Amino acid sequence: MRRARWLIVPLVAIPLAWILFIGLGRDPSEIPSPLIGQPMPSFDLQTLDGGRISSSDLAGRPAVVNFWASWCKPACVDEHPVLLDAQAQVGDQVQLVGVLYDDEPADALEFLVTYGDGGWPQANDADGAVALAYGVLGPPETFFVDADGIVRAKHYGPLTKETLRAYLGQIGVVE
Amino acid sequence: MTRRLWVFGTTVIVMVAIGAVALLAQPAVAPTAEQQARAIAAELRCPDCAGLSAADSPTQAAAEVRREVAEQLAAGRTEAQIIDSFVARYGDWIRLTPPGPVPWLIPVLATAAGALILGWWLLGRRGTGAGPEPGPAAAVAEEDEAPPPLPRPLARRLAAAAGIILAGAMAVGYLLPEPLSLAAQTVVNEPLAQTRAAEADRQATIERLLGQLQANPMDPAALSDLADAYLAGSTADDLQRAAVVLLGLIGLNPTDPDPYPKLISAYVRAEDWTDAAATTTALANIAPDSPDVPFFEGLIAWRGHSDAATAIEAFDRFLDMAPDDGRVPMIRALRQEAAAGSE
Repeated sequence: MRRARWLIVPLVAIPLAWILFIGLGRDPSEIPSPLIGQPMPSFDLQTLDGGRISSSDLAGRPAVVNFWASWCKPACVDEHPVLLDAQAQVGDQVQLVGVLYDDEPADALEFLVTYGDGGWPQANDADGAVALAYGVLGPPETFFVDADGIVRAKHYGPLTKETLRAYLGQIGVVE
Repeated sequence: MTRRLWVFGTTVIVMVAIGAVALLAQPAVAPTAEQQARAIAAELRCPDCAGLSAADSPTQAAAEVRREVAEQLAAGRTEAQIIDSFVARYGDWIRLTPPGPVPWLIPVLATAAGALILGWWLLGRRGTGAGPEPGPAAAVAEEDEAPPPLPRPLARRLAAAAGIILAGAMAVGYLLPEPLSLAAQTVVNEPLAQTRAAEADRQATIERLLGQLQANPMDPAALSDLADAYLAGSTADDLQRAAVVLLGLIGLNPTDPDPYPKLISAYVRAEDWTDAAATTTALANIAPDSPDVPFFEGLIAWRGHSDAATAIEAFDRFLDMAPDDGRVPMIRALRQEAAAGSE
């Protein structure tokens, strides 16, 4: 009886520690986006060059919507050449769209001057409403939308050449 | 020893009673829209920071969550609908409070179990008697040989009773249906409920009229009703839609003066003074005797351009033309304001 009482400690403590370890160690970016398989949330934003870009402009063509910020270093800096390369290789098949996340247009322009401007539209989501509509946790985050306007994939963190190629395949873009 | 147990038991019961009374006695205050928005934002995780609610975080994303919650609330959506709209973008991760009653019961059960174990341990141990602490072997021997002393089972029973009472009181408080629940005393905010009902009606009317217009796009009565429904709204979008419908109505029959004042008031509310003035001029051409002409001329001059002299002249013309109009008190007040402003 007395010995059984001491068993309570490990019987309670071990499962509890296990639950906390599993729960707290989880990375929120592993959660799949509920938007996958859904139509892309619509937007209509001003671009850094003074024009406008809206989700309806993307109809009929696969699109890559990339949320980024000039302050997002080194991830966005690492990712930038991958996007520049994609624009050069498959820019005729897919529409790239950059969306600024919590950033100043002047800082974003400086980033583009420093690291290279691929010429795709850079939209200024000044109040963050579009990021919220897409469920963005933080830059860089990239959505892959097929020609029918359906979100097919979402990537958290910087893209590499290989991951980008795999995602582009999912929206019907092949090199 | 038995007296101590009685003191312990009574204390627990009195504390539970005090807690229950305190919960019941909380003043029931109807929450404002702002408080409601804050309460909903507090149930949503801030998208770009760890472990803070959108109500408590200073980031831009959290501010946008709060803005959108307030907007959806104003549009008459319920708390559940608003939270679901965020879950549809972020997944269940965005919730700070778990759905369903089961997770809420865990702390209640854990507290009860803790109270039970603590009481059993404290009182049970005291039952083994004072004096020099007997070694483990002696204790085992004592337990095995003699029948346990009387206070010990009594102590356990009392501790169990206290734990059950504690758990029961908490469970009853949490589990009672909404209007009786100790956890959430909700009072319907009458003005807000009415606003929401009116907004739902308005949206239904708009839907119905849009349906009618699909069958017959040139129906002037439906267009007029649709414009009224949009004008009853308050967002820039509503005003813009109202203006489009009214322009269509005017296009159907440009000499009918009825839609003009509505169009002008839509422009005035949107603070589009140029279009408001142009439409007033158009109205003056087809209905020179309408008191709406000086009414809007004065309103545009004063509100739009702070031009007191023009405004006073127009307000006087209005008061001459329509001394029995329902808007006379409003115009008198505006005239006074303009007169005071021009000095």
